[in-house]
Amino acid sequence: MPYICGVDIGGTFTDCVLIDQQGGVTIAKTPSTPSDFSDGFFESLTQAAKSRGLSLGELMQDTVTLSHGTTVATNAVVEHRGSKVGLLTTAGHGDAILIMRAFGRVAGLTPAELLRFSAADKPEPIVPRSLIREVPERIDSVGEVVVELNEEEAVRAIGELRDAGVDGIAVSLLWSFRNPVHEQRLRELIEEHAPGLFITCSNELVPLLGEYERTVATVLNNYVGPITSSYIDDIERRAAEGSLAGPFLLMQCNGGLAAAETARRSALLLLQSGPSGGIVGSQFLGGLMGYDNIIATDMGGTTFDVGLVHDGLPARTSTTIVDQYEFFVPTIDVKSIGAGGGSIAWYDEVREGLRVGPRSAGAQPGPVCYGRGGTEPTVTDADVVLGYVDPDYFLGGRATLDRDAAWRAVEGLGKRLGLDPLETAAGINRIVDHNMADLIRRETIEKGLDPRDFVVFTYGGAGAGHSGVYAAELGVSTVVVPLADTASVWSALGVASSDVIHIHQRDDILPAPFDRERLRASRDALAEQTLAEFETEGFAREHVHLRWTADIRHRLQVHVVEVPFPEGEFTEVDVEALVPEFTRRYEDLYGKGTAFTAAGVELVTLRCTGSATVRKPTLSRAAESGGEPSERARVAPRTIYWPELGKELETPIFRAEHLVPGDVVEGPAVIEPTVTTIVVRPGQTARVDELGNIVVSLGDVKRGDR
Amino acid sequence: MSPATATETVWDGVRQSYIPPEPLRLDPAVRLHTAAAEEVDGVDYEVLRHALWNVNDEHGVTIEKVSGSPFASNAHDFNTVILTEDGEYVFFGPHIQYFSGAMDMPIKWTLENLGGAPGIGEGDMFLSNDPWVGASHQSDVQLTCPVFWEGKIFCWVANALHQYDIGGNTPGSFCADAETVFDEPVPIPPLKMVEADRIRPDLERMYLRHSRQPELVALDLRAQMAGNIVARNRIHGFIERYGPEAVKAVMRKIISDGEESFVRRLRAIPDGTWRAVGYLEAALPGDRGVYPVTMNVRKEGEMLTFDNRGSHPSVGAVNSTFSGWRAGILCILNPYLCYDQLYSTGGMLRHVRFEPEVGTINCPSFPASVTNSQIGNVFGGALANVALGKMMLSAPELRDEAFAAGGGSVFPMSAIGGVDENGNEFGTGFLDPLGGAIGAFPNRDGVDTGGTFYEPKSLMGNVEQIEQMFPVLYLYRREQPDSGGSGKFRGGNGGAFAVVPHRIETIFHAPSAAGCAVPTSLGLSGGAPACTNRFRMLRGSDVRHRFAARQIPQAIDSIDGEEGLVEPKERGMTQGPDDVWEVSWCAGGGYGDPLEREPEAVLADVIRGAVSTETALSVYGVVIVDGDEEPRLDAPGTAARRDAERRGRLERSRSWQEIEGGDDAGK
Amino acid sequence: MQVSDALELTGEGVDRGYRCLRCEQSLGAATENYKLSAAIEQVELSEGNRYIGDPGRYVDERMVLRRFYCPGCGTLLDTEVARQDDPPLHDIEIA
Repeated sequence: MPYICGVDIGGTFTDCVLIDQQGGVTIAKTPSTPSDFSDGFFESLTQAAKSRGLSLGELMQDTVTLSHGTTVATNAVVEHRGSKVGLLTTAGHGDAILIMRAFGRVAGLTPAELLRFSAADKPEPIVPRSLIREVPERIDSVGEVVVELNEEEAVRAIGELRDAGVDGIAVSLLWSFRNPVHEQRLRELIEEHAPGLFITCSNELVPLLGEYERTVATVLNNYVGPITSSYIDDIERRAAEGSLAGPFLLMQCNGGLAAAETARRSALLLLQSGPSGGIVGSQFLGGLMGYDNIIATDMGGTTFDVGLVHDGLPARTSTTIVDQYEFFVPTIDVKSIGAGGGSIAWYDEVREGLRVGPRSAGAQPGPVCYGRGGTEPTVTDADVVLGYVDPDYFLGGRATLDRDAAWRAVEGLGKRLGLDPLETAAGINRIVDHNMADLIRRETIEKGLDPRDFVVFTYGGAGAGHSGVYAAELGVSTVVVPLADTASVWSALGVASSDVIHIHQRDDILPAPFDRERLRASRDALAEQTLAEFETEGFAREHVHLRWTADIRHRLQVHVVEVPFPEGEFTEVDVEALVPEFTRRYEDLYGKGTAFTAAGVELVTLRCTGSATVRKPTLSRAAESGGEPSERARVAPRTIYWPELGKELETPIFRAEHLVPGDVVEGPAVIEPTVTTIVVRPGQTARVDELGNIVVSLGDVKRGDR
Repeated sequence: MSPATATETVWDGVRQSYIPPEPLRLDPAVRLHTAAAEEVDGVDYEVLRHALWNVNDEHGVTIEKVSGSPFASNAHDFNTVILTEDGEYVFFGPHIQYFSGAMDMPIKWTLENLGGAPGIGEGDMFLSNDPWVGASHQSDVQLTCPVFWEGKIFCWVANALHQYDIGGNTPGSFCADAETVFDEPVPIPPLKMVEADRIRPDLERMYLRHSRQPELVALDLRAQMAGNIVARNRIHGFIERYGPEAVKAVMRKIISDGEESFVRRLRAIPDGTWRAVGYLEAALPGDRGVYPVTMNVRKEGEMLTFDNRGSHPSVGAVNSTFSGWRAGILCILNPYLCYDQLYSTGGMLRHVRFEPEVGTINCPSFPASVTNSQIGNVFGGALANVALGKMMLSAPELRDEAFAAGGGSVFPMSAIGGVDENGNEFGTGFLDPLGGAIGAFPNRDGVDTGGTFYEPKSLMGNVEQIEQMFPVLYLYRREQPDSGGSGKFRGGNGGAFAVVPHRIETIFHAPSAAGCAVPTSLGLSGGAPACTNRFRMLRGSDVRHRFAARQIPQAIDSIDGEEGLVEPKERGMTQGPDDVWEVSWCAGGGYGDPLEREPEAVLADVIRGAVSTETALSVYGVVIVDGDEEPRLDAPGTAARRDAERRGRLERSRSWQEIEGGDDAGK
Repeated sequence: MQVSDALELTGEGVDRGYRCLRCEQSLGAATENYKLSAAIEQVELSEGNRYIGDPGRYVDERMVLRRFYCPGCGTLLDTEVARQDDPPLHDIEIA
């Protein structure tokens, strides 16, 4: 039987999902193996195969697509284990990557951290000054050569870097995206004078305006390239030993898969690809459920991550930050704050008030209730004190929690606040829930999107206990907790269900009225580049769907608005329609009357997003029945404190494994799958859908302070 | 002009700076919404504190995106604030700090002077840039917006945004040769530019008429208005949900919490007085004088008092008004002593007094020239940085927060203008020096090109962004090794850049700086001052020939050409097609005795290219063997060299009595 | 009480005074400017940093860089930029 396989490697676990032709799902969860992640990769596949009564080799032979999400690239940067990179750049601009636009000192810090100068510094250079060489050559802003490439100097620089023992050379010249001739020639010279080195040229990777972010991208691609390549080689070799039937694909940060060969060449695209799986999983499941607009939320032990699916597509951004280095890469836009189950609640001496986070007890020692030495109360401890989490059914009963210890810790904090333990725990939750709502707010309303047009998906261990509040806070009416077998291997499902995606874009500033012929030429060139890439991966051109957007701005402005660009042949009318469409979107974002078109309008970036569908899994659907949960699903009620009612109630508890599609649970209630706790608040209603997900309707929610 | 005494001065913003009285003399027509809940729920408080901060953030994001100005987008040259109904600070925004620090004053002035006519109504916004009322200088245009509830002023939101050009005798509005304010952009006391959420077209026309780039200024005005509307609507949302009394109680508590934290830190500091003196030069083009600027800080019990006694009388075009002086001090006071209060400064200000001496360089009387106030504002902050740093060294728990003055202690403004190849007028200022440098700390080095103290999120534009907008070609932009002040911990290095005109024949220059003759980034505890600012113009260079020979010159000294002296302030200067313009900016001061620096740290600096081998030897006494291989340390040689240097120091030194007695050591 | 990197304030009443933290050399009474007890080297401003240059290019006033050393051990206690004729700045006055 043909299988679609997804494997996602996280810091702790390697998750595997197999989906058969009928939509039957098999999962496996095995420990990650940091010394050689490929061991864990095959172990998870072996376990999954075993559940189907297959050997690994038999599974490989039946696997039509093997998709993989890996943190190998991200880890290499964070742990400073990347390869030794030499940088060739334009004479006079070798310091750009060290100056970091001055912003590198605080890039990625929260506003609260910015003011303390004593605590902020630049990171270690990813390429030290001793491995940066400046080459005499110069191209100007319109792409004309001002200074010819000085090949003798270039050859000498290449020789010096080779002799210094670099693993590869990154080439990033000023204005190379306008005219790549010097970068192309440098590639030839490197191949000639330092054969065998890993080479990245900035115009091929990210042809965008901004030498700092482009150079960082180019260097990072080289920095993680060799490590990523050898990792991919390793997996391909072992998969081939098992006669893998279909292609081996890797998850990129843009939310799509890429063939192994592409990933080897552009390893940068694997950086920060971790959250992609979860967002694409939400997009996939949302598609099956008929949801186009999704706020995907992941509340784990230390962080709360938010990403969006809008009109059926994941929201993307063009830069991201790793280790304080900002760089260009089309990436799924996921924002994070320090709010999770492990976030520590504390007494602020100065404000004489309660604060939560950003410090986290993490996994070690973890919350007080874990009994591993934690002494400061956390969000999870508050959940235990309020009664949401059953201390005896943690991880499906595989572990027990120390409720008394949690109670004592929360009580101790409450004494300083003059609150009883239940009020204290409720206060902890309210603060953390509002912090999460604030982040969602920034990602929706501040970007001109109305959260009421969205449903919230919640995954991650701590999310479903809190989503009923943070979603309601924003006026969202529906929360989906993906369930059945997929929830615990959520990212792996996303990896298995993703399309192959390649995004190509190029900066070419055109003033309005736009020159149709020049636009057409740019578009044709990008289309050719994108289709050619798919072709090398074995996708016929007719199976590739191209979607076009243009970044447009007012002349003299820096910030752009992304506007859809006509598909197929376009007419003068289509081109003329771009400006009014830009103005409409601009005013949606910033308010009526703010668009000042008298300043002039210009098109900055043309972007082509190509996608090709590999085999899409289907999930089996069950007929809905009942409505009333069976007795088997009910366990003994528990006393739970509901702050909105101001009292404790004997609250019905349901085991998710015994709920069937169609079952309805009225709040207040708690539903307990093995991996999380779903809190159905008073006035809310949960229903199990035909796919086995739990869909919570929030009813007439009180409108938040939008 | 002799400084008058404070007692006979009328601080009304007309001839002298406006200093708000306590309490304010409100117009009877002004109705303030003052009610606040006595108790605020602790959790409501934490939720709302967070939410109010986010309002400020969203306000700034809106300005950044709507503004047309590269000043706003590339350099965050703006800021936002939230204040109470009577103009007490709740939150600064996270951008240019001295913009926020000058915004309470126009609001208080408006409450005192405009309440009756034209009146302060719902949907009104007031535009101002009068440095005597409370702007940091004329280019930093403020737009303040009362937030009404139940027909009364509940609070204020406001922003200030640097305008590229709002008039005056020089493109870019940094009028280096202005002898009085009448040569400069017209200072505008608060006026009702927005009425019932609509820009008044008559006033806007008058306002835009001042500018050489009216489209940009118009776009910026819309950005400022959009930011205020976003912030106001958000606060209305909170009031609807939590009630006005609760929201106001949260504002009051944010302020009182900040106050308590500030007082707690003050208590850790012994009573005393600390001083710093620096020197500005070039009051006008061609002027060769030197003008002392003094910052005195006195700590007594729970009060900090700043005065400027000893500062030179106002002179030429290097003055900054009281509001800028005060705002400059707040730039450093906030990160030093309130770094964990999320930019809440109102409480701190209850324990800070300002005692300016009028008629001085940092408290000039109308109509002194003040459009170059950015020099004095920031330099005052840099001197406060040093004086307060000295103070904090006496408090063990605050010591490691101190740092020496850094890059940007005086910003070398290099404004340019002209006509591009398409016949369009262009103009801008090079903001590269925002790359700055952070001064050294008592326990670690400063940060090379780590930004400035007055903008925690300093941001330089990419060279490609600048070349795309303006007809220049950069020869280089780099860090300058050895430019940071030496010390046990080294000050961060600054940088330099050089440009030639591209595709045009002529660029007009209007440079305006100080800190070119006398260093302004002072060290702490023996750390050396960092390098000075410097403008250089090499005329009739061979740079085009070098281009043709496939070379790009990498140091101005390596290019053939004629170099004349460029003064810190120039008028009527042009750059021709073969002329090279270079700007280098001051770096970060050092901390402690350089002979106490770990030799390994010096070696690491040499390997990284941050310090030269010569400086390692001559300044740090560290002997580095720099042959064919990787540089390495000569430990015995270093110890001997350092011992000899310590003895040499005492041999070369004299007592003050000896020096004063005419036994001058000058060689 | 430590008051700077290499300086402390010790003693009580009339005995209260500044002292070098490296060698315990006395540097005058608490009420006085400790710099007047230091060994002072007065050099050209340009010696402060490779990129300072000669201020005489821009200004007429003679500016100096002063280095204040502990007379006991030669430790550098402070630096000061000044006009030649100005007395050392009394920059630390602890009550």
